[in-house]
Amino acid sequence: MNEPRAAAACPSPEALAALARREGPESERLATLDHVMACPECGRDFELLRAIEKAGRKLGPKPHSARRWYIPLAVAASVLLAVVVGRQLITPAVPDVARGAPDAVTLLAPGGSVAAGQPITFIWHPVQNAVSYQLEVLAPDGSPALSRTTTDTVATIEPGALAGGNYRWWVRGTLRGAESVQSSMRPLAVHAP
Amino acid sequence: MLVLMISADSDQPLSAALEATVSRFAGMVRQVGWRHRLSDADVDEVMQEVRLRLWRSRGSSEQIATANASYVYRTAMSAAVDLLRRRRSRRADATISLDSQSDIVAECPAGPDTDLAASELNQQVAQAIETIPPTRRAVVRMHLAGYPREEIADLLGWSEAKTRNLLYRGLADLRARLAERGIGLDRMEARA
Repeated sequence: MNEPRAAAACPSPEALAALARREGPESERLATLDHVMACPECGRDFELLRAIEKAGRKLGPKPHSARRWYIPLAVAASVLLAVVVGRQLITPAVPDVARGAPDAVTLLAPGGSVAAGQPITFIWHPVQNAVSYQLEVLAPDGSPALSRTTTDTVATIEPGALAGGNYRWWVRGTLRGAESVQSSMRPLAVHAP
Repeated sequence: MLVLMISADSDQPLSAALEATVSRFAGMVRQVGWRHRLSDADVDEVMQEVRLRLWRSRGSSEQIATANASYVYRTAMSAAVDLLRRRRSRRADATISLDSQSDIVAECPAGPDTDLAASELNQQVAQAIETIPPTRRAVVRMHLAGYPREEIADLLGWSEAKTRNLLYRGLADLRARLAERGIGLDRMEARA
């Protein structure tokens, strides 16, 4: 009964992941599920994400109910952040772009805090000879909360992709010849609406 | 598929405990997915990427030494999303020549009459499903694809009663639409 659908109509991998994680408005998840169940290719993709999600819930603490566990780490991270930021404030300025150095990619936006439930737009300065960039947002325990690869210097994250909490983010640029440069880590507090 | 034995060859091998967590996680993914024909190759590709990412993270994060199941889960989810993105990009680039299409037709094992009948029935069923209200349609599709009611409820975050109610209503809708076309639901469920 499954008829392949046009690839253009297929939901994004992020939408499939949101469905597997039960994130986002129910109407959107139902629309995605409706497509997935009628499209063999999306069905295969979704089954992979669904199995990972279910295994995650079975194997350890519920992936999305672990915020209480993060609180002590978030407090510790805030103290560490205060020390690091304080140190940066009294450190002489360094050039914006220095290939191979940890600060070779300059981060522009967002600022230190954003509202949950809104799209979040990450922006950074272009790096000469960069062929792609990888944006990574880390949870307080250092694990990747999300990752995006783009050839642009802007990446917009869909609403709900990051739950309320304290994160850090950074960008790595891949240069021609597979050499890479990276930014420093920047804190990001996502406030619940 | 490229298989990289990081644990054996690297200067910074994954710790035995971490490798055990990754392997256990992979086993559970397969266990969860086997009922719906999850591809072993997909799981292998994701877990190999997870090992690579964990290994790369070692120099920059002390947390990796004590990585737990939650860390492995998040890394696997991120790696899977990236894998799907790459796969879609390849699909978009792929083109099928007329020659290759003729090869596919030649290899099809079913006869033309069987194909035609199945195709017509599938088309009628697909059209009937499209007329079901959206809140019930996805549930009906999951049911026909073989997902048990508990899994449907779990995925949508619904109670068992709500799921049962919407499924029965959806199946009643479908039965009525198919009856209008002279098709019995039993025949269709037997094909699912």
